[in-house]
Amino acid sequence: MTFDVNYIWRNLPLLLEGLQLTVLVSLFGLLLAVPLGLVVALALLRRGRPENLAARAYVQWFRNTPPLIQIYLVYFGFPMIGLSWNPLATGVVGLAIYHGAFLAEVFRAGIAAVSDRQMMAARALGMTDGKAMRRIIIPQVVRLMLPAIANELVLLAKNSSLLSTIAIVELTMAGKLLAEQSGAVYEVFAAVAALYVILTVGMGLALRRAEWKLRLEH
Amino acid sequence: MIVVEGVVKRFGALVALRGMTFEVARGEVVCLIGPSGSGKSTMLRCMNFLERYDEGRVVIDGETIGYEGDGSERRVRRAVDLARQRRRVGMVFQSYNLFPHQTVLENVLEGPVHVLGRPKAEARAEALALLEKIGLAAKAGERPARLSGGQQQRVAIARALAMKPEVMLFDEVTSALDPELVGEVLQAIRGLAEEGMTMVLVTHEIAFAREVAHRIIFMDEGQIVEAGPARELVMNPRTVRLQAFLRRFREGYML
Amino acid sequence: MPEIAALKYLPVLVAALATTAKLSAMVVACGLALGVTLTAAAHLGGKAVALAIGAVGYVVRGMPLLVFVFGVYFALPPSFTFDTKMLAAVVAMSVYMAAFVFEIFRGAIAGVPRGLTDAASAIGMTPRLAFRRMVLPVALRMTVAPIVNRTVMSIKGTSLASAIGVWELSLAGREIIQRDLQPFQVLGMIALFYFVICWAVALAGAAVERRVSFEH
Repeated sequence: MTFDVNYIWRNLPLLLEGLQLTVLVSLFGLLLAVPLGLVVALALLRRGRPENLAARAYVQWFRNTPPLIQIYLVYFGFPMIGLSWNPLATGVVGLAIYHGAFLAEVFRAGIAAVSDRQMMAARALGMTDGKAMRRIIIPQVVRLMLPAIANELVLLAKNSSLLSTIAIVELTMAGKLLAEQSGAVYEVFAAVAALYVILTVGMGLALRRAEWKLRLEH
Repeated sequence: MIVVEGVVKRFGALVALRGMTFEVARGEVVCLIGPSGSGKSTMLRCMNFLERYDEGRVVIDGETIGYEGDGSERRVRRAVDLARQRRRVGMVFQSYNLFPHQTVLENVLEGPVHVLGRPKAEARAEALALLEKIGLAAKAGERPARLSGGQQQRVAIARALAMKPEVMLFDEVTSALDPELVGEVLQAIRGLAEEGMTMVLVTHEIAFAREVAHRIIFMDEGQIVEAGPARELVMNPRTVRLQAFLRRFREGYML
Repeated sequence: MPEIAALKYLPVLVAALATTAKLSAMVVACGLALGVTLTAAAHLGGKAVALAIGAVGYVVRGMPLLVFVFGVYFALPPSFTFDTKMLAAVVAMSVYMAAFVFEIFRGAIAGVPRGLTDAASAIGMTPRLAFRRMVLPVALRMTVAPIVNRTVMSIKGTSLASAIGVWELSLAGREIIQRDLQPFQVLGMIALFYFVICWAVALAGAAVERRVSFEH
């Protein structure tokens, strides 16, 4: 079997289009997952309240079931209850629900670590607990959690490949279509894999730089 | 018994030791004191070759530690040989470094049984006697994580002693301890001094050094600034640097 | 109590669950074994081998499991004598898991504090003895939680076998939904199956972790 590099070059624009969608879906997924995770994390920290139980159930349930099933649930389920979105929005929501559960755990640990020391100081300044949370704790946690958020974005980008199963032509689907159509399996999947690796490594580097900048400014 | 001769240690461009020379006689207790960054811990770690020195030599009982051959022929000893040399030198660390997955008794038994290959029953009896001596026989079955810092450090001393070393090295062994736990560890070291153990200690406990050590070596910037009999050195420092160091120490102490 | 219409699919789903369980067991067993083998090879084989395994592992971990599964599946020659789909799924998922297992072990070994090896040296241990008696036992305890995590990930990941046509829980579910339009009930049931398995693994892992903790 021969490996035709030219074939990759000729079809690169198709794959890059898929890559574009992958990036877009990942970013929107993160944009949704971060606030979701934050809200759930706050509920996780309020022991003995009803929302605490709900938050714990949410985290355990979604951490222990496949993201594919969750995407199916949104994709097949939402139209049944009268929500007929385009598949793209569906995919983003499905991914966000899954990754929100992981981020919630990360945020919970981060808030707990910061708040022990800082809540006292804020109270000593006469702040209410709610205000202290908003003004003192959360800004610190977000900064502290930036590496973890970056890590989650990388995982999101990888999991966005699941959207190929609901007919969204992101990078994986683009590759699959191309491979089935041409039979140039090695070439196509090597290219797709390389693009994913470049993407995930690049995301990691970019966010590390952003984090570095933040640290310099403060 | 120990001869340190012109020892130089570099970390890249930084020169941590600039030609250290001193001797320690059998049964002698020597304290290394000095500001942080003066190279005293590095010196101690060179003495059992946990840190590789670049020039000069450390000789214990006529054998150069860490190197074999001489001059341009000199090269680092093989791992097995280094291990053999270290068996004669006990070391206790600032952060205890107990083996976390083993009980207190297993920590003390590790060296005699798994390094020296002694029969377990015999080593066990000796280990228990050692734990009895440092007052921790009741904790023999506990994991280190369950012990206070002072208790952990006493176990670390027992672990080193179980190898029946000819020399003991102590690297700031009370620096990580809460003030109220310092006493029990110093007491254990004092006991060893009274038994005539040859010891080199890096310490910030000047009062203890004055009381227990025969000699004190004051280091700064990788060199010996002043050395002499313990009491005299602390009471009548001759150099300006040692005077300043002791003054700072006393002020801190008064606080 | 409202009637659960999807209950009539229970026998079919249980049959699919058997495939998921079989696939999971094979992937986890092979993934662990291969990961441990790679760690040992990197440790004993010298710098070049370690570097090569590390680099390949980095690339494999950087791509989505689904892409890896597709790649292996399409690369395998079709065969009439055995189930190519199942083989591709097991191979791809095992190698993928092994890449993470390797990284977990490598990280744990590198993460053993310097003080511990210093202390081992100070009582006269050779590096080899110190590795066997100190570094490895301490590092292994550190790996319990991440290995359990990765195991749960791998079990969830078996759902991707459906993308190359392995008839397991997820594919069975999809088929039923497309016929019967009971997505919430059917997917809920499937998710429950996955949940029970993963939850049990996580709980068992937490129990093991408590047992090997340094305070125990």
